Amino acid sequence: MSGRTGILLGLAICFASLPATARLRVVGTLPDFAAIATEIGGDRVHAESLIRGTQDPHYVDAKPSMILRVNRADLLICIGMGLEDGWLPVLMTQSRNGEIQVGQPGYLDASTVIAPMEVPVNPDRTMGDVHGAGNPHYYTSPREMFQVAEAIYRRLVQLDPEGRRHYETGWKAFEQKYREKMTSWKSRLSSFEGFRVIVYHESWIYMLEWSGLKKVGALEPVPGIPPNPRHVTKVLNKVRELDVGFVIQEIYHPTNLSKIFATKAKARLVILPSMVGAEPAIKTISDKFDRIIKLLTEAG
Amino acid sequence: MPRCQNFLWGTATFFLVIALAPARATAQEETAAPDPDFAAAISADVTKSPTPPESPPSISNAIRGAVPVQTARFIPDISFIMDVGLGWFFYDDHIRQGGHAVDRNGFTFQGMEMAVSGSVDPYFRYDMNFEISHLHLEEAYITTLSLPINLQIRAGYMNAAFGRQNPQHLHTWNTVNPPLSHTRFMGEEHFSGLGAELSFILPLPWYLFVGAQVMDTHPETAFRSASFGTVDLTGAGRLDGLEDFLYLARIENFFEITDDWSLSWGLNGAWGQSPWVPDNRVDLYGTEIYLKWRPISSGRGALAVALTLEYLFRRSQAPGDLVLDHGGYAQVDVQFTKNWMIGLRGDCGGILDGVSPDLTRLPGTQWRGSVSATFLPTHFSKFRVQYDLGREQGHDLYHGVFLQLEVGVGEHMAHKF
Repeated sequence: MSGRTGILLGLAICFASLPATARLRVVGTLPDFAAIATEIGGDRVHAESLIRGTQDPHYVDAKPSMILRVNRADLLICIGMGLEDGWLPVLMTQSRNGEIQVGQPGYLDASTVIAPMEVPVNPDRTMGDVHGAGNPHYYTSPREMFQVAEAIYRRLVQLDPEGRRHYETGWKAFEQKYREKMTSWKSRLSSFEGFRVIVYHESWIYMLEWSGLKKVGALEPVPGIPPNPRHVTKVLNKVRELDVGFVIQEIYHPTNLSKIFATKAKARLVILPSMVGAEPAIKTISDKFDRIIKLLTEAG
Repeated sequence: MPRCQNFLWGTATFFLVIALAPARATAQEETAAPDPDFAAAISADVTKSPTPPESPPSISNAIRGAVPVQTARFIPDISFIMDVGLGWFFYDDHIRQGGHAVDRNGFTFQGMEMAVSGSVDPYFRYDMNFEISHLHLEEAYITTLSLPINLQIRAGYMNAAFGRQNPQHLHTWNTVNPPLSHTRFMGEEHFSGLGAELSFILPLPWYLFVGAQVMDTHPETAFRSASFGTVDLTGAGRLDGLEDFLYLARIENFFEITDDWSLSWGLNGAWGQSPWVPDNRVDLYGTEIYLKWRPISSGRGALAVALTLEYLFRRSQAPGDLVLDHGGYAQVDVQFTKNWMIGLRGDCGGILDGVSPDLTRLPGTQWRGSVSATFLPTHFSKFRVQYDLGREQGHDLYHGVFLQLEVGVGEHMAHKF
């Protein structure tokens, strides 16, 4: 093999993973962000996520393969509010990518476009794994994710102004479809308004407020601390007379306790996909909420 | 025998205090007898935790538009991490345990680390770790954020980028003490010094890191190493030429085999002057493999099994001799739930050729086996119990038991893989 052939082969390997037509590389910490960017940006965007939809975003290994993804990103979209503090900063520092550092156009903290809930007045670790900026699980709510989608659209235009028309077309299609879906989702959940709900982890507050369901307790005594018999018994005694409709949780939490609790509370246990990719068929953000609404309505 | 009895009494008292503490706390709470079905279900979920305070958290439900407390983030992230150990050796002539380890009977303050980090400006990040209990700097360096062609520079006082164990701080260890090979080749503390590192990520489909470090070996720059000598050994007491610096190189490959399986493989080399003979040399080589299985694709990410293998080889010029020695360890860590993990480690080291100029610093054949169990109530606290059995050439078999408590307050710092 001649020297020139070797260099060409090396370059071919280096650029083998670059998509042919994509102008922007988008990396979302959540698969939801990547799915939205793909839906709006189409083939002008190559989007991927750092974590999987089956993964607990609180507990993530900062794998060097993620460094590589962040290194090549034009846009990094994160949940924010401190949820990724245990793993994302080290990836950003080691990425050597100045374009996606905090404050740069290539960095989008999606929490900055939503109104935070459960902002602790005086945060302290005795409250469990709370976040000073508020509850970061807004990605379980259709309303908040619509706001995030609009922010992603605007940021794509800012980073790739030549593609404005392309992104505008993608956004309008997304917006129209999503608004119709939101109306449908809301309508299908209307009969559940005021339904009382027990959650495993405090991941659903935004979703519950949007849908009109009412949280009356949590199996975790404080966020991030696994349930214990004494606390769960107290919750059961508190809700026994309240006619609880659902016990809801994500797929990555254990289910034995939730099943027993749901039986004793005469409620239905519903295991909901909190992220795109939580089930193989959930490819888009609409798929996720379609599935959540379907599971809730069928259980009801 | 009386010593053994004292230890047993001490251990019994320790566990009694731990056992009674939650009982007293819960006695003051509302007396709702826990439902036994829940206990069984939680056990089936393989999750256990202590009873936390159940006073309602002062969270304003559904406050919209409130100003988050993190709005003003110009203050760097600060955390304090404390490690306290309790140990008992059943034979006095035990192997030297290494820096931060419990090296004598009774309580040991293993460490009180203050970690500070934050952005300097769009171009640099700053990280600092200060060991308060022993009053020494562990690390203080800046990292560039946006150099071209995937380059990155770190500069300041830092741990040598050599292997898997040396860059880790005490609170990221999965054992009470460092591997024997760490103490043998790196030193009582970290192998560290004042210098600079240039590294590069190659534009390949997999992660390939190539880095080189240079360190000042003047004793006044607090250079620390068990393998390399400082510049005063040259006789001049100052840096006379490029040969007086310490040079390191590291290559690290990472393969994400599947979502659940990860493999990291590193190769390391360090070249500097001998601590035994002025103007003589020492070469240190190492390789490590870290294989981890964590089934995130099936939603069982709380479960993880990790295998670490690290091997080091050293070639030292000693007075009238060339000493070749080696060492390494194999460690398996199994995390069953977010709260429980166990570990198993086998350690060994020894001289391959030549005569050790100082058996304290360059010991003969030694081996050790360790087994540990760790309970992590939250991200911010852990309890560990460990048993060691080991032997060093010319000494008798020894064994020891350790308890460790670790707590951290402040920001939760991000950790490397």
